[in-house]
Amino acid sequence: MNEYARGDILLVKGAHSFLLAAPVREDFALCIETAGEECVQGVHTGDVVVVSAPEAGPVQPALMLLELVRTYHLPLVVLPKNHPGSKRIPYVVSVAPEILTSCAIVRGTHPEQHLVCSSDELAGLVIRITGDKAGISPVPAAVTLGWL
Amino acid sequence: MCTVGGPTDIEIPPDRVKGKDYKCRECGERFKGIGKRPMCPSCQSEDVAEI
Repeated sequence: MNEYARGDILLVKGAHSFLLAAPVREDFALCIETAGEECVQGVHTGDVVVVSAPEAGPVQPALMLLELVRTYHLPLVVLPKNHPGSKRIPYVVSVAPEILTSCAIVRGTHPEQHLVCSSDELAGLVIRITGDKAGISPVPAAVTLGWL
Repeated sequence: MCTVGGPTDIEIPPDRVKGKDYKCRECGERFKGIGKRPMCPSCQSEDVAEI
């Protein structure tokens, strides 16, 4: 059993990528730190946190990242464009009432809260909380769903 | 907000972040908020006013 798993994290797994989605359990202010300023996003119970791994990789870091945001409310630190470290960071986070996955956007270049970068195989999914769990629509035939 | 990494990396063109300036009515904190329901980063209050 994964130490970060709580049973309410949806794992959407494709052949070459995956994403995690989980409900926000409490209201909090999510700080987003850029080089020049701080932006604050109000996050509310029932919003969904999504971590996308467009090139797959291990699930554990994605779980950690999800909980760093959802449970520990850590600020998100933003690197400037063309920062050399950008290519080494494979996970993408988004928090909003409803999130659309898209492969037609350049990773890290869109501040719109309802979008998250994904692989081609997981693009076009709408992720939202129904009841107290995350769900996706549609469910592509080639993906598997699981709970962590 | 789509961000990358742990904590994160993102490339946000400054002109695309449409944050608004707010002041918290409870603690007086001034901050730039994004989204439909801004919240004070200091006291977590939603009793804020756009300035």
